[in-house]
This record gives sequence, structure tokens and C-alpha cells, in this order.
Amino acid sequence: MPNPPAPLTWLIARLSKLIATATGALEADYPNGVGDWQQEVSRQLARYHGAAMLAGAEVDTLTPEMTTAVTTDLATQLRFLDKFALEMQDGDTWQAGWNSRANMYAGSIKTPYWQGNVDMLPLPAMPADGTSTCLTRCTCMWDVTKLAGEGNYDCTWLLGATDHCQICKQRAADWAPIRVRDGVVQ
Amino acid sequence: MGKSKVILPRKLSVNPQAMARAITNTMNATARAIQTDFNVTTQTWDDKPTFAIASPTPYTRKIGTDDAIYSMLNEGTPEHDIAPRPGGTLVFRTPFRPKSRVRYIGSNAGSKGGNVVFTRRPIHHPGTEARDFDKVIAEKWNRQFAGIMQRAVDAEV
Repeated sequence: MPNPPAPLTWLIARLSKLIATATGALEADYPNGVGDWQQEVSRQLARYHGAAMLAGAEVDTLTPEMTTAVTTDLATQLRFLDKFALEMQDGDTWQAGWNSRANMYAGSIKTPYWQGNVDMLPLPAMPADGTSTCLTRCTCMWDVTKLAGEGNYDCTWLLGATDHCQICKQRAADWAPIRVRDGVVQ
Repeated sequence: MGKSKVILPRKLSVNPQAMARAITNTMNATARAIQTDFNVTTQTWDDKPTFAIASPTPYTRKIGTDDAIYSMLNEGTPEHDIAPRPGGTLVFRTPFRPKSRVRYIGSNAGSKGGNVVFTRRPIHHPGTEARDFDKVIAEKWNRQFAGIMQRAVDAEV
């Protein structure tokens, strides 16, 4: 099974560290500081979602379409973050699972990375987009082969090296490959 | 279908061919995703049903199966009595553990049960609780539809 791309691993590790630092600071100050924590995590998510798209597409600038895609993914994560922050605000003692839950947000940048990497193709799902049981823990990948002619691709869902959920296993079986011909998903 | 919001660039709105392709891709991609989720609900079955995608019109997709057992499980069955044939014996195994759960997109190993029961008396079957696979899968992909369409629109620009 293939390893995750190095740029993505690097970005996730950095974001994970930033989120862990912010969450550690919040834990020390809790129940104060939830608003500041949410603002900081939102800011980092916005930065790293954009960076992940750039890294996936291997370009220096986001096109308007890439920006739309990044914004859409980011909005989804910020809605989840909002719920999480509300839960924290409503509590009075720090919960053991909150650190790892916060850290899961780092994995959400896999979605813009792969969207950029697959050349913005309209595929059914992206790794870690929340449509598989493994959520942002998903380590799967798209392998896209560009074929001769315009708009022709074979797109294969590859399982990651770690454990995978039933949905990802099924995708690896069913989407091997998904054919795109003349720009149309078959 | 739920309410969806998609950002439509001006240059796409004046290109009917590209717009048509974006809609077709949205329909096809969503149908493939739904088909895969149905397959997940029977992943551990020995006799797996086939889920086909049909396109009755250019902008409609139907994903389904004609498998009777799957339909029975999806929709559930009422409680009923089962009697042996006259002079015959009912044979079944227990304790049965199903491979699926209500409103869950997945399947597990389940168990037919290790004890074989023989009886000449009628038994009461409690019925099968509807798994509602179709409903839970539809709800899931309704929520994703706008995002998939946005991808399809963005791919055309």
C-alpha cells in the first residue's frame, strides 16, 4: 500500500502541532479562553486548507475555482468547530477526549489536498471529506492516470497503509477505476 | 432532494454544454457514491445483491436492486407465525445475530447461531425491523450533493 504524499504529511504534522499547542493552552486556562482558541484554530485551518490545495495541485496560486473549493471545505470544518466550541463553553471541566478531537481537525486538510491533486475532477468523494466512517482519519488516496485525448482519466481509490473502514474498502473495490471520458464521469 | 447552494461562475452559465456536463457529472458521481454505500451494507453477505444504476432520463439516476431478501430487510417485515408443514418439523438455529443494524451504513460478521432447534409446534417470529438503508443513504448524500455539484461546476471552468 502506498505511503501518503510527503508534502501532505508535513502539512498535517505542522498543523497538528499548532492545534495541539492551542488546545494545550486552552486546557490550562479552561473554562476561559474558548473563544480565543476557536479563533486561533479557525485561522490555522484557513491557512492550511489553502496550503494543502496548493500542495496537492503543485501550483503557487489558487485559481478562483480552487478558492471556492477550499472555502466550501473550510466552511464545513468551521461548522463542526463551532459545535465543538459550544460544547466546550457549556462544560465546566476539561474532557479527556477533547485533545484528540481537536487534533482530528488537522486531518481535514487531506480533502483540499486531494481535490487539488486530482486536477479538480468531479469525483464522488475525497479522502477525509467526512463521507466515510473513518472521517478525517482516512488515509486513502486517489491515483489519477491521465489518458490520451481531452478529459480522459482513470481514477482509482487506493487504500492507505493504516486501518481502513468498510466504506473505504468498498470504494477501493468499486472505484478501481472510475473512468472519466471526454470530461464525463462514467 | 434538500436545499443546495452552488456558486455558478458567469462563464459557465453562458455555456450550456459545460453546464449540462456539470449536471451529468454531479448525477453520475453521486450515483456511484450511493451505489458503493449500498454495497457496504452487504459487504459481509455470502450472496451479495447487485445494485444497478439506471438513467431513466438524462438528469435522473435510480440506484436499486431487485433482490427480494434485501428489500425485505430494508423495509422490514411484520411479526408472524411460522408453522411446520402437516406432519413435518421446523428446523432453525439460534441464537441468531444479524449482519446489519437499523440506519447503519455497514455490515458485520453476524451469526446464524450454533444451536439447532427442532420443533413440531408453530413458532412466533417477531418480524424484522426495517433497516432503512435507502433512507439513511439518501439523507447522507443529500447533504453532500451541493459539494459534489460545486466540484463538477469548478471542473468545467
